[in-house]
Amino acid sequence: MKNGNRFGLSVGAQTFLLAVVLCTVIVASTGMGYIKISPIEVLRIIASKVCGHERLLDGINHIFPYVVVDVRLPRILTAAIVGGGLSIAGTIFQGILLNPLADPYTLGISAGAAFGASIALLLNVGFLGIYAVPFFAFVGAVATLFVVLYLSSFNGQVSSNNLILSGIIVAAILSAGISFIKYVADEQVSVIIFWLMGSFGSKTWVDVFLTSLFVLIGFFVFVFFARDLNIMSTGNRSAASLGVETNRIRVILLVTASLITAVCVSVSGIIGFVGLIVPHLMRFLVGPDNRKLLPASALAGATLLLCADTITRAVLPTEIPIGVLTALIGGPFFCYIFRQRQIARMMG
Amino acid sequence: MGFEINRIRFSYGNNMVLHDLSIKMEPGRFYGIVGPNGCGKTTLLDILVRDKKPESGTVRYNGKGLGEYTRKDMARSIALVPQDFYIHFPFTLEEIILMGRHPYISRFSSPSADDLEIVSAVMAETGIERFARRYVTDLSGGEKQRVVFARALAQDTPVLILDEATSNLDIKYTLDLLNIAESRVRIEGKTVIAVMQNLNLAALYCDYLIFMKKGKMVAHGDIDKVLNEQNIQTVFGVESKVHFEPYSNSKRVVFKSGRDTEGQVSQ
Repeated sequence: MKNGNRFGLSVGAQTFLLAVVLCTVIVASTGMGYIKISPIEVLRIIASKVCGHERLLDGINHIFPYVVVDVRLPRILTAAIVGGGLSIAGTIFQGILLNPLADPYTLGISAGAAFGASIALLLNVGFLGIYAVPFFAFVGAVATLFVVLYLSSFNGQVSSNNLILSGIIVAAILSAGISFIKYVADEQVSVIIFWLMGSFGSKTWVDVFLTSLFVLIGFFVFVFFARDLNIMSTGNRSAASLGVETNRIRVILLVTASLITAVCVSVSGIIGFVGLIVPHLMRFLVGPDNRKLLPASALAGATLLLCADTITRAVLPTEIPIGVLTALIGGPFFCYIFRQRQIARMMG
Repeated sequence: MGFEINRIRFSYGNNMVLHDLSIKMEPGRFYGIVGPNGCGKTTLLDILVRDKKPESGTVRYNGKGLGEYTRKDMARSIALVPQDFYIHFPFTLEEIILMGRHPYISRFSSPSADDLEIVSAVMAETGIERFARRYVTDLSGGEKQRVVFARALAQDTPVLILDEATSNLDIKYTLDLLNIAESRVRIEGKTVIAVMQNLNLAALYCDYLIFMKKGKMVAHGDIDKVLNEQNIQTVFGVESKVHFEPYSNSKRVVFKSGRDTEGQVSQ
């Protein structure tokens, strides 16, 4: 069995390359912004924080460590982790729903999170402080997941078509709910709209740890079942006869992917298309084998979303919501995939 | 040894699709299941691969209830070639066939030399080795069917179940594929259980034929005994003539069209 990708690179080399690109982008984007900091200084500041050597900071403006460690890095790392999380969740949803057009939001998770967040913003919930909105968003997303799973399960079986249909129905109801909330929200309406469009502004280390915890655990769960998912993505009936516990694994993967999505949405708002596009691009690069696809998607998704966030934060004259930017780039790409599929079907 | 099916019942809601079905199937024989659409053939196969559980009755394989086997053990004993399959992702042919070795490869380990050897042997046998690097999404329906058949062969199980596995194939590949299945029965003593639509193909390959209608077995037995005009009339409601054909060395079923002898369409 060949191990290389379509361009003859071994999987190890390719993962390493993607990781190098991600690290470079992290360092470069940390230096970008209103205050310019050179990559060398960024590396020295990070090294001094990690090793505790104050001497590494000699000759660096005393504001810089604060800018890098307390302002920029939390935002940059959160963006990267959310990008990676949404991408691996998208990979899993596409594999399980046997549908290359599925994404982390197909099951209505985003609508659930948005509904939860809108309620928190409308009622101006006071307890939990700044974590009230993320908390409500998370609860909304998880509750939606269970409603969708309940609607689509029958005789202990969960079929892909039922999942997609239930997801659409529940999302439609929740969207109507969100519209209603916006209608009655009065002054809060702009806050709700801005939250829905997504942002990585004012993220803290707590966000970094929270998202990385969920995304890492999820990543290991996915890699553990990656070979089973390969077989499941060629049809469930034959997967079962090849010794794959299809029903159990499908529920485990769906719940894990949805939890990752819920956490990502709750810290960043709704960022579309990353979870749809990155698995596609990476499938083109490394093939559909999930054991290679998952690491590649995680790294590429992190890089892509971080680049998008850096563009709105440091390149554009005014910050535009990240969800709008990814949709503006991702939407046309989605149309392209859709068109290609139709052409392929006509030829086939 | 083999399958012992004892009085199994199955229904979808109020619609009973299998009524008290009992049969034994032994190794080293080619079993054919024929019957009109919706007579419960596929449901019976689903029960044999434990995809569905009978509401009552028992299915034993090699003396043990199916429920006592782990999924992996099942996959090492019984392989299924399904009627339809959806492969939307561009795996190469080789990758798909290697999936047949899944029950033998433990998690996180790579396929052994044996696994790879079996995969290439199966590809050579089914005549698809020259496609090995092609993407399965680029194949035609018939080519995909051969790939899925090859994957079931790579699973190397004592029992091979074919659910209309030749429905998309032209006559050459149909014969090739059934010849391979037959050689597994004659040379290696495996069991093949095949749901078939074409009675003449069934006559050519099966040792034992099961006629099903509305969830019941109307007739079953050695092909020479049960493949006759009366059973075809009872099960399918069509007239036919069955005779022995020396060329194929098998029974042969012929039908008449709605035209009468003058070429008029009869009412």
